[in-house]
Amino acid sequence: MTESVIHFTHAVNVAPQSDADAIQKAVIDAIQDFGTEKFALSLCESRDAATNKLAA
Amino acid sequence: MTDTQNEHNIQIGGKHFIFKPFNQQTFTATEKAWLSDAQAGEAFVPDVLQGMAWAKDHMTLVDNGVAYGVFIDKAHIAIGICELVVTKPDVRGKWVKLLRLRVRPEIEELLFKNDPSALATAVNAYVCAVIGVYHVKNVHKATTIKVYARTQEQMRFLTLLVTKLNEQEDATFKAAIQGRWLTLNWKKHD
Repeated sequence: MTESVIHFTHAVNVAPQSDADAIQKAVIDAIQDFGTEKFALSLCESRDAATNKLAA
Repeated sequence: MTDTQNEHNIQIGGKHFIFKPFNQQTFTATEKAWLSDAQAGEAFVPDVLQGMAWAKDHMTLVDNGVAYGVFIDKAHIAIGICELVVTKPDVRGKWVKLLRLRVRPEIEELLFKNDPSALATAVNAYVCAVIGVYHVKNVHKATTIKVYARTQEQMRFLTLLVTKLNEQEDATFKAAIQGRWLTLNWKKHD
């Protein structure tokens, strides 16, 4: 599976932007270091539970 | 509090997302689509019903809880539903907590089929959820945001994320892990 590259830009709307930018950059960096696919699958609570239950 | 205050526009990689509470139109569209996904076998129907019931009861702040949706641009169907809690545990300030991000069942199903587009959508939904919580913190003049790890894998991710957050030179917050929570604390609200 090809890892998607998430290009960082910036969040808009509420000032100040520095902390929003910092958080967004940190989250994206962490996802890329963690492994984008592994991270995305960690969000699949209901599907994971369904799969486990159906397999049981 | 106006709708404009509650609606937060977030740009990621040139794509536009909106983090906002549900209204009747977006809730109905989201409920219909998510239930259809579940009935197609992409999730347990009772799980989806439970999540939608909570969202319906928390389209505004009720008993400290409020549901926010993550939307791609002007879409009415949410790609994610966030369960937020706004509390004031002591005199020092309010906390905004992200208890859970539910990803649309159809996207979860596609992730298990190694769909790159679904992968990007799920990741973007999470980024929007965390940035959205930060914006909600500002709206409520809170001093702390917390993100909960529901699984061990999420806990491992938050442990990595806290390091990345504390590496941000321009940031005015301090990040830490407290139990199963990622905590970002500001000395005072912005």
